[in-house]
Amino acid sequence: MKNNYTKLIGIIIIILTILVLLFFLSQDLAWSGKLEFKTDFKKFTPFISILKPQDRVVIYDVASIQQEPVWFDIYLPRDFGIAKLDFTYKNDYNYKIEVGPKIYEDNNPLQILDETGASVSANTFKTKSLEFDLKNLPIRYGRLRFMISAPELVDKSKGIEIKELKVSLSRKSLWQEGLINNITNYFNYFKNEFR
Amino acid sequence: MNLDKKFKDIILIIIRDLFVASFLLLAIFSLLEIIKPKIILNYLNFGVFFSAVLILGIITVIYIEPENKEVKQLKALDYSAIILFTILVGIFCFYLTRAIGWLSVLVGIVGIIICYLFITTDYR
Repeated sequence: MKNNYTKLIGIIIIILTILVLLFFLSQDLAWSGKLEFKTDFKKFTPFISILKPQDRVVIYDVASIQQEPVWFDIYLPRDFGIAKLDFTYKNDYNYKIEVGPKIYEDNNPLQILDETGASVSANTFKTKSLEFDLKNLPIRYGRLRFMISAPELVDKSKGIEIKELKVSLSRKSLWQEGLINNITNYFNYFKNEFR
Repeated sequence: MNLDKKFKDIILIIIRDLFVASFLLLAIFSLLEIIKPKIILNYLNFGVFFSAVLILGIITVIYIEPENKEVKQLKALDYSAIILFTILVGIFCFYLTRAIGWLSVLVGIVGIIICYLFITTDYR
């Protein structure tokens, strides 16, 4: 009788172990086709760094950019097609804020973080979404560097406040892409970007 | 009373099997982390997971009784193999937790003790 229990418990635990392993692998493989994470830039998170250089940013309730440009790294565990960045920010002095992947070429795909289409929350912070095509961008060791630039920002006391950044990465899901293609693309990304 | 003992036995079997499974997962996770950094650590609180493995291990070695089968006498070679293996497990535990500073030495020692007691359960 005890043997039966032991076997049953053993089988259940083996199944659970395999499920746990699959769960964590499916997270990194982004089988759902989406990966979302957010930060307030107060400390490093697994997917987003703090704003750098640190001496250009003051952290209190929010991260206040006092000198420009600043940048942050996003960690991409695998190949994604689109990155949507939702900034919740306060730009009291109406600077022209440019955001984009930091690449040293003329066709730097910076986008303007302007007021158009921004939703306003109760405490005057605005939320604005920017979308970036991630194809052919320089990803190194799984990291993609983004820059925030506001050339008109010269007075340290009149900074830009960033309350939150939400990043939504998207690609084809496992069901759209197929298991073999999905895993092949994952390994190709790993081979190219992590070595 | 008999029912209580049966219930206790089942709980202990579950804890023992969970310990073995979680230790195996720990080894697989560590291997995956060496191959691709952050593949697991981005999604798992490693400190909590490692503590759970240690707690399950401690409960297992304290409460699990040897099975009623003929006890084999360990020879010097068996002891050497067991000690070598447990030291390797200790180094492994130390390596995994090296980020927490000097406490990792303690974790390594606890890992050695748990591993040694777990392997030799049936010989005590």
